[in-house]
Amino acid sequence: MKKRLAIVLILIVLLPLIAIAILGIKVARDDRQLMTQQYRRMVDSELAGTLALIETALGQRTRQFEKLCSQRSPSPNVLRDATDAEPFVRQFFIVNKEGKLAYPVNDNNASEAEQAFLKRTAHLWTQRFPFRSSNEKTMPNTGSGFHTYYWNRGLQFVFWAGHQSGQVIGFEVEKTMLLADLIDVLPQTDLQGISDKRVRLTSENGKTLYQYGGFSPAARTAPISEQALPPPFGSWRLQYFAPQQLKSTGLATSTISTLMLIGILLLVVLALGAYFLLAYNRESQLAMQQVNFVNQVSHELKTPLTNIRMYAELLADQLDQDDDIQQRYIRNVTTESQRLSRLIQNVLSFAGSNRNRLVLRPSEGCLDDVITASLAPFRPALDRLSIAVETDLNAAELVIFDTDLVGQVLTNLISNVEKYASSGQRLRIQSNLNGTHARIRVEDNGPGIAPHQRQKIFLPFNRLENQITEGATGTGIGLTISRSLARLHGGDLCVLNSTMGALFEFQFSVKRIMP
Amino acid sequence: MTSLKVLVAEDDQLIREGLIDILRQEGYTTIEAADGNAALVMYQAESPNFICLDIMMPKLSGYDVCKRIRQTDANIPIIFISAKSEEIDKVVGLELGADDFIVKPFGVKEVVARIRAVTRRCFAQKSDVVENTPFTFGDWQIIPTQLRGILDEKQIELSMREVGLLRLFASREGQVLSRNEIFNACWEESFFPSSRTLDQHIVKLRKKVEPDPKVPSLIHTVHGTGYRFERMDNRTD
Repeated sequence: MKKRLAIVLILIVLLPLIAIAILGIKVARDDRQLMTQQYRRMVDSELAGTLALIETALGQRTRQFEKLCSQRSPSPNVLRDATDAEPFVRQFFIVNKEGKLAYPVNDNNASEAEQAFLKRTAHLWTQRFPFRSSNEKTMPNTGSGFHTYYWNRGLQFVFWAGHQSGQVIGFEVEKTMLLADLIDVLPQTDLQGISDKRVRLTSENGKTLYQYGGFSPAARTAPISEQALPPPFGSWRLQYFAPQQLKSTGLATSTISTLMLIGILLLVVLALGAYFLLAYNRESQLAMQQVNFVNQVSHELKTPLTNIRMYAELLADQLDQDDDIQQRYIRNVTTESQRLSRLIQNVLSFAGSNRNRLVLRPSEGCLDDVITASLAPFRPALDRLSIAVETDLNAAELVIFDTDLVGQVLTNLISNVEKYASSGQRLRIQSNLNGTHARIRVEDNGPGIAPHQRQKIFLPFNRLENQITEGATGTGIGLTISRSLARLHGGDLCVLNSTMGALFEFQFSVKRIMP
Repeated sequence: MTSLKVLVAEDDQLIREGLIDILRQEGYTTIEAADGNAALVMYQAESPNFICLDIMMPKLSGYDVCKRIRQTDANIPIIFISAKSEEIDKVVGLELGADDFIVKPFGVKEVVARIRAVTRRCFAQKSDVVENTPFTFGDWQIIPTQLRGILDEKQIELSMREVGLLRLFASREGQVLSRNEIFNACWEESFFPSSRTLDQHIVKLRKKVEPDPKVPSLIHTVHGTGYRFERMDNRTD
């Protein structure tokens, strides 16, 4: 197999494979990104649902807290009693219209709890109206809300509400109760359950306040998604963890199937390529064996053919020159052995041209002598067929060319006239030599060659199937070889337009002999 | 004229015999060998003037025979005869020192033409031998070393045998030569032809030298005896 063809074949197989592989990787990557995004959305959506539940619960609790404040009388005694009665309240307080803490105050009547409260919240009361926003000029006597502050390394919550008296009644929220409220909204812990996720509620300093889901993430694992709780828990987070394979479960299926598809495709293409290569190699080998066989047989035929031809010619000398029958018989044997020689030479040339082994062998010679010598073996047959031979030879000068090659082309052309154009009863050969350009024209008056068949006749094994070739023998390689030989000699062999019969023009280059 | 000795080395018996017949008809003495080793032995024992050498031979190929001969003799003409017609084979043969290359299947005329060409080269080296000097036969100028006859513008090719016959006739102009005389003078002892062979040679010779071969004016048949060379104008015997 030719190396160039093998490279082309490999490229034909490899290029689509590479393109498919790149496309596949790109599709898989896009697919993975899409699936990741979808998964993220799903996780975010789950967390958002949880946060919505928290918000709803917080809203209900806020309304309850408002009632707690608004329905109380702004009296220290009342509020002192209520502090003990309300589980969410750690300590009630009153801020007067001037924005200053009116209850509890640090006096002799203050209980230990009140003193502790004052200590915890001392920083709040250094300013007036600590719960108002920066753009409010006065103490709000309507509305309500949470206020957060840090104490003892932890977030603390204060709820306040405007009272009809113009004061503000509020309380320090029992943080544990508030957290219990949140946990109540969240799903059961179920740490032994399906290990597909873990959701953590973390505090402002990253400590886990609550968690649920069967998956146990390794330490320092980053969450897939993280969302802040609604105010006043803004510094608390809900974190979502999931196993790595779970994160890519959906996309893994898609990627694996894509990769498998590419793999199968690759295998199919490779298998097809391998099959094609094997089949091509097998056919090439078979063709080469056939060519070698024909070559070998042709060589083997040469020895018996030499004997037939040589002894026929020797016998011709021995026979009675005046006995027409004897001379005719021996002439037929000689002519046919010469024809067989030509056929064998053509087959060998064809095999040689297929293996690029035809080489020029230029020598000194006279073109007209080669024409005369090529015509000589055909004379008896041409006479028998009453084909008149006309020659117009104008190339008697000694020049350098491959005499054997030119002789072989001429022999093929004359042989064709003998086989296919005997009805025209005329063969004309004209030669010209112009500088280094030689031209031989072989013309007959036979049936000719139709214009659409003039290229076809030079293709191998392409004998014209019509009445011209009917009954005539031939291998269909004579003109193919002749054209190859003409081109090897720097020229060409063509069919020209002719008013009658076929006109072949054989051109080639010669070298002048240096004086 | 000096007869040339030719060694024919060819393993195919029929081709070998055919080549020997051609060479003998041309007037050469022949020796033969059926393989490469025998060819070398014959070459050393018989010292031929030139060699026809087949390439594909048993025991030792023609290429090897050629190489060995060239080690001791750079001048002896060698003609390769082979079925191997590809260019590379010809190049190898010629580079080894062969003088010519005849490709099978060959015709008798091709072999004869190539052998005569080699013979001319052999004689060119021996042109000082008395037997090889030119002579006249009638109006023909015969040049033995070129195996040619020249008459005005006309030129004919001759075999060594024909040159020998013409020299014999020219030296005995007007005399009747018996068949035995002719045989003794022109054929070697080991190869005595039949009368018919002599007649065929005379027929061929007449075609070449006679103005009208059907009415000989130079070589005349003397019935029952032999032939006579005498210049006559269209006289029949």
